[in-house]
Amino acid sequence: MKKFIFTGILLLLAGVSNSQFKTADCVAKLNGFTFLKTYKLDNPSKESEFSYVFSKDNSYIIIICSKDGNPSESSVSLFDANKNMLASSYDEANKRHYYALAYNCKATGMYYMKFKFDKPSGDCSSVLAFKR
Amino acid sequence: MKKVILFSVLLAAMSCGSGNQSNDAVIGGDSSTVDTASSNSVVLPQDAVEGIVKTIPSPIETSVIIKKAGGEYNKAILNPTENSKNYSSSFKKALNLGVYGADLGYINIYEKNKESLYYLQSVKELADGLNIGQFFDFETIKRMAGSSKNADSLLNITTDNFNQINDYLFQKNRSDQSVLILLGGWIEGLNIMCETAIKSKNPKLYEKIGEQKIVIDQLVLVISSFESDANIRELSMGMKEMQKIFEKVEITYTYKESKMEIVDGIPTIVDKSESKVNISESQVLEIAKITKDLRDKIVK
Amino acid sequence: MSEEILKSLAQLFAIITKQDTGVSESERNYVINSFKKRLNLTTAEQYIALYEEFLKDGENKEEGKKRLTSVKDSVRTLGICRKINKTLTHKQKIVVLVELLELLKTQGAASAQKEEIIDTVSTAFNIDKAEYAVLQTFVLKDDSELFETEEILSINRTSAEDFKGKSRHIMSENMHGNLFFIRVASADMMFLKYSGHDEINLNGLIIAPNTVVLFSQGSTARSLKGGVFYYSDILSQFISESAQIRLSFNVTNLEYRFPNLAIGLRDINISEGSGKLVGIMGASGAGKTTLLNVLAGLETPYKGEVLINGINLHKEKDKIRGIIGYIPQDDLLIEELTVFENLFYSAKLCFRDKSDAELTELVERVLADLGLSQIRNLQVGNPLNKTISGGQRKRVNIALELIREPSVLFVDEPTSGLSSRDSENVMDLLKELTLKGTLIFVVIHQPSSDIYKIFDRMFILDVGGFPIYYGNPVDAITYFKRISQQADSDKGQCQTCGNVNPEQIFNIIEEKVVDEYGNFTPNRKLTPKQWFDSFLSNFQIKKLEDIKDAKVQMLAKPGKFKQALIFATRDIKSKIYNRQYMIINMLEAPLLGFILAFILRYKNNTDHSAYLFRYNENIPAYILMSIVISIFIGLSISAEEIIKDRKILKRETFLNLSRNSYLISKVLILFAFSAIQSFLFVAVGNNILEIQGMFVTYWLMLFTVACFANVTGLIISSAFDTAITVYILVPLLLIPQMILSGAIFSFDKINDSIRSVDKVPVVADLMASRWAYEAIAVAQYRDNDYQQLKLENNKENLFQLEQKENITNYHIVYVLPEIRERIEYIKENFGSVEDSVVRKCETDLELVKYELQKLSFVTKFPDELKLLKYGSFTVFKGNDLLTHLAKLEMFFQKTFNETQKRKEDLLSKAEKAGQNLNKIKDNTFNESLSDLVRNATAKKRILNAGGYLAPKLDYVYFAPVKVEGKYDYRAHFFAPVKQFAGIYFNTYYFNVSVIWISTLLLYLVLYFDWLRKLLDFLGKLNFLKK
Repeated sequence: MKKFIFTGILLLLAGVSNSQFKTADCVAKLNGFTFLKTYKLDNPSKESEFSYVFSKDNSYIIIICSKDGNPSESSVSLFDANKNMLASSYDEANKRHYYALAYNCKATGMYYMKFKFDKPSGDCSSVLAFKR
Repeated sequence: MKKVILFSVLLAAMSCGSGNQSNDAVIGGDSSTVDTASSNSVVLPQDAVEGIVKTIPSPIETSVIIKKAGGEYNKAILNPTENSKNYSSSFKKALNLGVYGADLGYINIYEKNKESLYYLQSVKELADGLNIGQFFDFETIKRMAGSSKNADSLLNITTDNFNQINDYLFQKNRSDQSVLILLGGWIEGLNIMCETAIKSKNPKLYEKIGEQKIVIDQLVLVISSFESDANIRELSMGMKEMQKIFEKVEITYTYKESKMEIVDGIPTIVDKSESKVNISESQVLEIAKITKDLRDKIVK
Repeated sequence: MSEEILKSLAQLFAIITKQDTGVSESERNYVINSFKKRLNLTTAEQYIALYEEFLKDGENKEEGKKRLTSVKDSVRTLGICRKINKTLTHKQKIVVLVELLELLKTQGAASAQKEEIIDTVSTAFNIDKAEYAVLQTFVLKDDSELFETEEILSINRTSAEDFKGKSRHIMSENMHGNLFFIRVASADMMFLKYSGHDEINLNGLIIAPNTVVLFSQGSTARSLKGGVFYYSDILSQFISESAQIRLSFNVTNLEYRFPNLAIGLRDINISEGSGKLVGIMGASGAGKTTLLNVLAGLETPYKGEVLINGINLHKEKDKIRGIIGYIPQDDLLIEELTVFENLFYSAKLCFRDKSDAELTELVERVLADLGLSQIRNLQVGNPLNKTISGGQRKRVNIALELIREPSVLFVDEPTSGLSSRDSENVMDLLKELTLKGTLIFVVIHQPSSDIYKIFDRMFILDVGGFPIYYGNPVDAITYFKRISQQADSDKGQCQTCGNVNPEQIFNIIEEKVVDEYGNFTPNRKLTPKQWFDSFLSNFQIKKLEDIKDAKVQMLAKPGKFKQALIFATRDIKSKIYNRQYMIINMLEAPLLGFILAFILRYKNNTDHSAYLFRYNENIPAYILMSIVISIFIGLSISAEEIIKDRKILKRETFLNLSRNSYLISKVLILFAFSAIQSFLFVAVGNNILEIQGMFVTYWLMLFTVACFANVTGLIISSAFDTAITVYILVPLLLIPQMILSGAIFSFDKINDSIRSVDKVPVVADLMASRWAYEAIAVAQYRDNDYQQLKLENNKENLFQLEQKENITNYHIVYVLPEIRERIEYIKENFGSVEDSVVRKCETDLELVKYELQKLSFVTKFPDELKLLKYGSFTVFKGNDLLTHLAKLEMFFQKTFNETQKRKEDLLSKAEKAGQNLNKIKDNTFNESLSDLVRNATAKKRILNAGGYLAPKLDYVYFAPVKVEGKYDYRAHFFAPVKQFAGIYFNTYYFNVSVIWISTLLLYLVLYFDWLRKLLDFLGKLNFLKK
């Protein structure tokens, strides 16, 4: 029920924004997480990079939403302040795309998120949230 | 009473020389309050500013941390809504929009929905005053605020709204206002944290305060770009003062490779790295004091 | 006669008769008859006995003491006379004197002593010597001497040419002998004496020849051979010199019909000259008042004419205005003014050239003539609250007309409601007027005998407007008795008492048929028509020749301006004297202001400790209620104005005064009241609610609105007859003003048939409240100290900066994205074949073109795009449009940012200069009003108004969005400027002007009385349908 209302409201609110893609579906997947940021991924040919200061003792989640709900179009990789890669939502080994990446942070600092499009004509956005 | 001049005539007069002028990348360049004695600060390009702004953590996190650490809800440390009538300039409005946004988050986390209505009202007022009121659908929000079941949704909605505002302001070349909102929110968040920390003497909170060192560096960087505006410059000076105090705080970082697990179908990184903050009580007090001073100046 | 008088008379008789040789037989008989004439037998004998006793007293003296006796007698005579002086009226003294003189005659030759005594009597009675001499001649001398006396009137068969004597003379054809009349002016009495063989019948009784008989008012002397002599005719012979007005009043074959074409009067023929008192009588509903009104010129006859000195009264009114006076039954006095003032102002309106002093003199004279001098300074009051008595009121009413000295006077029931003494006074007054030459028509109902006899002529109407008698009043009775075949029909008046019974006439006229059982049926014995026919056959009216060359005195009425001044002075005085009225009027507005403002002074306390104007949510409501109160008060003080004056106005139609002057005086007085009331209201209300610096703004608009209501009220006051109707109309006038003011119900949310997307509905434009509310709201929002903040070297104030800010923001946030969206839609769908899509694309394209063209002042909209048709749309064209759009976006963005900076600048500099912005805002800026004029609660902020985009927010910042033509004044509600004839006007002044122009137009409606005429017309329609 909550999801419905929330979805509905987001749909309403999206009235003025220019994004073609609604993040509502994305956010609907949040369960118990508090929404923090949205990242628009509207340039399919490039990699997009965003940074955020993650705080320790917080659990974060990065969710990728694509238009048709199929996660297989893009992936996100997380890097720490020194640009060490921590993980990715794409499992090389099993060739599996996951729609989200979670991170239980123990070290406060600047982190980088890189988004990649595997299929060139994707239309995605991403949501960053944390657990309360 | 003088006659009101036809708007379009006025505008037309204003618009001479417009048309294909490219927009100034230098923000604040046509302000009439240019002070010749400007500091040696680097002026960042738009994109960089935008990038940094998005990096800054939301004050919600602060509130959650405080609550998790066992801090008690204290309404008195919030900026009273009555003050909203005192903010006539956009400078003040933007700063305090951030302040109230942070307060709103705090209230929401502690599920004091009754209070949130008043704060929503103030947020609306200030947003309208900045001509960005269209991003808040207040009818719906107010309705949601009425029931505690919707606390989560309410929070998400307001966060999303603030995000949209930021995007919009950048789009419309009003990034200075975006920065101010951000700053206001952060300072308020820090102030809340300091007050709570001092009261509860909780070391975890002390740590959190220390961690803001990382953030303040970014903030100072970004706000320096706007020092051509006298008001912002004053603020920037204050921030730099604060930065100096933070420099004394030590943060150590130990890297360890993390492990990845699949939890509930989602790849989850279990962090093995660690960061440690070295901050003394007196430092906390110092920080608290300067924060409060700066914050009070903003909300007066 | 009282005992004392009789006793004195007996004594006098005794003294006189015993002179000389003592009482003779004839003398004694005379005395005895004299007593018997006056008293009943028993009493007569008493006094005769007394007389005898007095005689004996004298006779007992010795012969030798005669001289002494006469001296003693003189002294005694004087004593008696003095006593008589105290008790007898002048008239009675004359009668006694005549009696004594007659006594002398019995003896044959009057002795010197007797004459002496009577002389003494006359002196003691204070009778004028000359008068006494004539009287003496009249009684004692014989015919030849009478013919030589100027003051006597003789009537005989001798023609005018043949008559050689000095006395006045009338020829009576068939008369035998000589009839003489004398008038004792001081007592207003006449006597007659006849010598001859004819039978002279006085009021039904045959008089003895060579006796002097009193000829009282209303008497008729008839000679057997045919001559009839009426009192008034004889009287006019004696006073024919005084004030003769040459006047002819001829009514010929007059017929009058009511609006429903029923006949009101028929075949009226009247012919009168000056100096007559004509009565009009009839049963109820016969048409008396109608007749009076037609004769006076108030109603127009259906057929026939009324000619005064040859001039047609109804067709050539202007030539003879001013000679007619009309006194209706109702009171025409202004209650609050004194008797003097009522007359004074009335006089002022009649005489242009007289100074105030002259007018005062005139009024005083009239007051004295009518015996009203003592009450000159009493307030007239109303008939229920008697300050002056009913009779006095009536006389004042008459005085109003008399000032003008009209030649013809019409009086409607002057005696109704008066005591019999007052009635007689009034009638005497009218009679005196006729003696001066005025022709007076009086409708009279149930007159007493005396009053009936005062009339010179009587005109009697029967039901249905049939004239059934016109002639001598007393003769009427004989006539009717004769026609109805009654016994004693030759007796008009009672022999002994002289009373006539006018009731008899109506009893005869209306006598009902008796059925076989002796009960009265509802049917009359003779119908009105039959009475009419009888009248026609029995009488012929002699027409008087029209006097064509007589100069008729015209009124010199004052000029229009002066009239207005007089009306105004009179009105103001009457209002000021009415304390209750003044108190209520002056207190009403501020009291309501106090109540309203007090209740609405909302502190909004949750946030603030002291009352702040800024947060009082009731300010918009206050503005509305102020307007409503102004309209209400404006209506109510004017609603009754004209109704109150209606009777007075009717009378003043005779004076042909300027209606314009009257109306203007009324209007100006009401405006003055409105100005004071709105001043007090705003002073109280605005102060309590702490509305700073807006006094004139509020006052001017509320005053304007009140004036509008004033004129509206006057219109309905003029169109309707009763105050009740007017007051019932007030809600009908007031409620639509409230509903369509725009304050209670938003113009965006009313019935579609009257609603307009971006303009105020036309029907609301008819409401003064809508203009007023908008004007005050806009002025309050824009012109307060906070919004007017500006720096010295700068031309722009805060309002203007915010205006620019908001308008550019509106474009950035709503207009341009909307245009963009439509362009994108067309780009995507222009190839579609679906009808609805094609239509949408077409309309969208037109809209886009229109809006972009509108923004040409920013950057010119290229012609090729301007002329782009949907059929030739391509993607490239679409991209061109988008490029153009981008330029606009950039411009607006830049302007917005700049403006915002400038606004920041203004605010911070003002703060630095020491102004407490917050305090200024708290005191002069109202949040609720701001929300109202900016439509802050709107959900949809932009609407497609049909080919163009209209903002639904920030109304107070936008000029009218789409102007249809040079004279299209329409705009959205709360627009800060209005367009008309190519010029932009400040809304406040524009709106004030609109209301004043409407007021002016309403004045025209008032002046031409269109509402009343409309109502009459509608009324006539109903009748004609029947």
